[in-house]
Amino acid sequence: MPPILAALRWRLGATVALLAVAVLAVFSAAFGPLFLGAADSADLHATLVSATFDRTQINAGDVTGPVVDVSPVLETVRIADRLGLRRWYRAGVVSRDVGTSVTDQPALPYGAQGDLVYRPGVCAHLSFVSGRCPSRPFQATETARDARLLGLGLGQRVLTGEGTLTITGIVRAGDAAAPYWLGDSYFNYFLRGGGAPDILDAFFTPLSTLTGMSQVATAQFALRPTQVQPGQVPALRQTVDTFQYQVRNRLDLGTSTALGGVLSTYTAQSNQVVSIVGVVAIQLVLLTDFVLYVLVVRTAAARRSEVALARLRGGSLASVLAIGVGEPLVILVASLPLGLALAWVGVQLASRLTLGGAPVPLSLLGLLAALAALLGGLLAVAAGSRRLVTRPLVDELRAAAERPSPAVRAAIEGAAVALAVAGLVELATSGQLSGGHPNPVALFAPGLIAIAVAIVGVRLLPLACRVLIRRTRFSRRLALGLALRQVIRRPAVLRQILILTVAVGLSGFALIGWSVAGTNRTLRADFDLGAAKVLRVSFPASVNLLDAVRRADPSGRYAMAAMESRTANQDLLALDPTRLARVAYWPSSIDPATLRRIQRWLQPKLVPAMVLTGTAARMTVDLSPAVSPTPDLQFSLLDSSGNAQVADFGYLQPGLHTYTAPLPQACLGGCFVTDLDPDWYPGLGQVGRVHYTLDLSQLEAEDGSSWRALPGLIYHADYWVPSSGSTSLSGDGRQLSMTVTDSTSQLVPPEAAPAPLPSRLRAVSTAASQPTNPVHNSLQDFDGTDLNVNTSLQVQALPNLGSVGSLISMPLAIRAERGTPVDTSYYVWLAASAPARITARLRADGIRVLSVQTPARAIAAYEESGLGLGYRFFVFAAGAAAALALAASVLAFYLTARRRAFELAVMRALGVPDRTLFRALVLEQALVALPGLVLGALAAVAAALLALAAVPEFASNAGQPPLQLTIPVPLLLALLGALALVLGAAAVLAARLAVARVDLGQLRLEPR
Amino acid sequence: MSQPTPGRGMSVHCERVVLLYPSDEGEVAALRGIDLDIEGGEMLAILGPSSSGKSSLLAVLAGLLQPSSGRIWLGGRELAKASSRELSRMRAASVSLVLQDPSRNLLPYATGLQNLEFAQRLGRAHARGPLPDPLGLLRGLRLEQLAERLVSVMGGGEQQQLAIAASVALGPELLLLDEPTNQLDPRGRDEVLESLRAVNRQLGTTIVCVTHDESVAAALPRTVRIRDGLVGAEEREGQLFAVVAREGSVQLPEPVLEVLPPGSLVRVRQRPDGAELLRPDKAPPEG
Repeated sequence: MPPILAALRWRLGATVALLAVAVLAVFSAAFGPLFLGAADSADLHATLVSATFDRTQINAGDVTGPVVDVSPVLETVRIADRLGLRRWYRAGVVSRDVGTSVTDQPALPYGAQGDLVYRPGVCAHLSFVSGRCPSRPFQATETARDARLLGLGLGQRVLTGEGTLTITGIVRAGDAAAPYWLGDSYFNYFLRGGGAPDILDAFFTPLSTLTGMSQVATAQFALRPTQVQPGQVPALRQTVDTFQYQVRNRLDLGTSTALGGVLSTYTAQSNQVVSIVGVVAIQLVLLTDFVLYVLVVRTAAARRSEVALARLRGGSLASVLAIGVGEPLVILVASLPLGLALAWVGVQLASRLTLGGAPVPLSLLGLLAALAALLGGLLAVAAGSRRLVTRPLVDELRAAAERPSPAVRAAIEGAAVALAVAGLVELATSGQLSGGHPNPVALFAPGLIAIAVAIVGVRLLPLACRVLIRRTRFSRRLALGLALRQVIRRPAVLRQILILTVAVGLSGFALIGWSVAGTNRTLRADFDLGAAKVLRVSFPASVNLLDAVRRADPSGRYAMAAMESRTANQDLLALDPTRLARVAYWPSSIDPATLRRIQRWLQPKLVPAMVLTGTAARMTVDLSPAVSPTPDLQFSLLDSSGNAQVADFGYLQPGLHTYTAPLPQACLGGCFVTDLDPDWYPGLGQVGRVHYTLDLSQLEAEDGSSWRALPGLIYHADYWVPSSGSTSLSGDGRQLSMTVTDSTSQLVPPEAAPAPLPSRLRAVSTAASQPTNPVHNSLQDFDGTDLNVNTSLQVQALPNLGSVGSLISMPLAIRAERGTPVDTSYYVWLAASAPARITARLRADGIRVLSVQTPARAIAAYEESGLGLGYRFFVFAAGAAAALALAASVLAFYLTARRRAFELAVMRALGVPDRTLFRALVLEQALVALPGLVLGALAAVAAALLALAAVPEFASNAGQPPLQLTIPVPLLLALLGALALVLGAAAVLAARLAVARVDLGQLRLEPR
Repeated sequence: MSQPTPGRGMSVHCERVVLLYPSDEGEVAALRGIDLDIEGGEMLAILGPSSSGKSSLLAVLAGLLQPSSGRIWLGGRELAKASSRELSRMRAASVSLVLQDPSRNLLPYATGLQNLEFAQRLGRAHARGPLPDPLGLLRGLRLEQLAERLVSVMGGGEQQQLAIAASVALGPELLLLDEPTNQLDPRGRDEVLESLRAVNRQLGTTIVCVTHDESVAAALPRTVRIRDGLVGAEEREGQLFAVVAREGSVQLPEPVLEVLPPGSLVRVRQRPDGAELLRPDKAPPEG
């Protein structure tokens, strides 16, 4: 066996321990870059997949409309092939579409629209109920529901504007979300309000049918997300840009794709993950360097006599170096492939568990990080080599202990503290720690704080020991006295405190962060969803969802009806405000008063409606002074069908007069007054300024043959809301005075129109959705019509809507509907404690649950986001740091105990009992380990309070509840307890081993 | 022994060697003007109590310490003129030092034979001639039973014998030993001494053995007694001699000091074959 292997075997314990630490160091350092590669790939894939194909695909077509010549569109496919787009995209699919009308069908007295479509290979993606794929001109498929409606089966003919089609196949309506359709919607069968259909599903026909027809041709290129690798993103961007440029400029076609935005989202996330992993990896590598440096230096002592022997025998420099540093070098070199392999396996495992099995690339960065992690060990080897060359042989023979110069040590420590403090100050002053600018560099804070705290602790501990030792001088506590003396005598062991403090600081910070992240992910996911459980439901037209939910949960504590419309222009949510506080999720970190205000705002105490019923209305009006032209007084009305009507009292004359306005026939059943409008326009050559007063009184409606007075409430000023500040109101219950000073602000609507339909709803809008004039704002209602709303109440975020959207009262919103809601989804929100019977009751009422949403999915999405993955790596790194520190401490305990052999023999010879020696050794290790644990915990808490809010994972974004930062004291104590337990066990074991090996024969030897 | 080369012993000549070393109380003189001549192939003990300077003298002879003043010649070569590299080569080729602690002379994880091979493999082959065969060397010293045994399981005497063999494996002309029997029982001591004699006899190596053990010194043909950094007396073939130092001083042997305690005034009577030291009250009037 070669001597170096024999030596490694001889010091098997130290060899294995150092190898384990070095492997752990390489593993820890390489894990980050390898994980980054896999996470980046997974993140890209997830981003591309979640973006859906309609955003990532490229569409190219004629922007001018239907054309006969579609050859330019066909050319796009060739351009795509030539540019190499096929590397990432499927072959271009050119679909052709001719809009046509179906006529002369009994079921369609007014005809209907349908598309005549050619799409390559469509029959393979259609589900045939009967018949076959059309193959000849003017043969076509029809969907089963079209066939039912039209009453036309196989072989029968459909008369269209483009010709007569022969049906060869009946198919099921396809799923428009299937990838083959690339977002094209060919199954648009639509029944307007339960009446006759006006849109039919598409008829698929061979290409030959469309020849010569004016048609819309579209080339579609579907992205293959799995073919895109992170490193190819710039090339992909450039190729797509070139393709679009060539299609636009050479073929004069239009192109569209949202891929750029999708890739930007990925790039932004990727950059953040890279930053987080980079910041964390740097700290981890530095820690591993320090740990390895300390350990290699400490293990060097064991080889001192062999080195001395080699030098004494006149060994060559190479042979002396081989003996002096060969062993650690072999261990470090061996640790490289082992650590890398372990990291690769670890990342493979992590990828399977958390990244959906994303491939783990063997990156150069991983190798470099691994080498960087060994740098500390290699530096120690280099320093050891230098020492071997320069140290006098006599010192080597005498095994004189090397003591670093106090000045050098103080300078190094001072510089480290200064750097740490400067780093923290820089982080704080640059705003990185204030949370205003979330930045991964905030993750430097725990390391910097731990270093500063540890160095101060290392300096203070010997002083504290000196104070303590005075108290033990004349006491019987010999073990404590011995331990204290060792700590004072051997400041090198205090490096262990530094390692432990930094490792505990990092892992404590990570643990706090993990706990806080968990809480906040749940909090944010709950807020994003709105409630603990949200059921998406459908129900027959006969069912009133609001009433059904109220019946299912009479207590109002568990269930709430909601409806939602999300369009390109706005997000509108309506829910039952009486149950908002109990069912919706409203984090306590958001001001609870806001919730109460929202409830009050959404449930105004509506004044009685002003309804004009009959054939005419009359009113006494006193106009003063005379104005020219005179105003035309009108009431805007809304009939019971929701149609706008007008009651015109005509042009007013100066002085007191009674005016009569005929009411539309629709008002026989009652019309709601939606506004009162003294319509005045400046005459030719006049400026738009006016000043007059109207005194309104004795408003009556003719019901049949008699006039009936309207309630006196309308003569109160607070019944009305002036449209602008230029109109002032006063009223005494019998007469309303209205002074108008601006021609542009004549509209004077009432606060609320007659129940049940308020003319102007109250909405709560988020700050990001706030219009210029919240008092006079309009929202698109669920039925697509404009709704007059007052959005004066503004909040930063709303449940389910986030930072953009408006919330209205569902009961009032339903009343405000004038038609069938479109693009509206209905929900039942359930509280966490909602009993199962509520869902059962809803089902019994005919409500069908389409899907159930819980915050779990959102939480999973948060965890799998780039930031989540980045922070997960930080937690791993902190765990690795803790493991590294533990391993280093255990090894240090072992080495310290071994080095005590001579001293222990002396002590035993002096009559000190083994029990005292054992206790002294354990106490010595405790004096090193406990301050490390305590200081590390303090550093972790300080760093969390200072910097956690600035870490991107924790930074509060718009629309999210603010960060809840609660230090998880029990968890932190559990971590410290676990670490203390391992360290304690190691200390006890090392001490027991050392005491068991005490041999008085050692006294014959020279002290080592 | 396979390649004995008798007559290779290196001569040693020390002239007023002084060694000062710094201490907390200032400079301490470990050697205060040593004059010593050792013939090539000679075998001698340097005997003295603790802190008498004997180990320091050994370190100076091995080139580990530079004397503060004085000159040393090893085999006609002056040490002061040798660079550290030359000194290192010298230790690799012609001067071997065996340390007091036997375990420090050997690799604990290697066998006896491997230790000898290790010593020979340390390099600087160009600085020396052909080396003895390790196994042959062990046989020659009757240590072949140690060839395959691990050092860590050997007894102290065996370790020291092996240490001597390992030192000799380099084919030195001068073998320096620091208390080689210090930690050994009488049997071990005798074995070590026998090994030294065998080396000296078979290889002609000059052997300088530092010891505080009178019996060890008595076993060697010449003993130089050293006290307070000065050579005081010598024993050759069982006869005790005082040594006249270069400046004319003489360290009296212990029995004489009982008669003439330090501080005594003595009358020196010159005789044709030497001189007599007499107490004034005992000395007959001259003339």
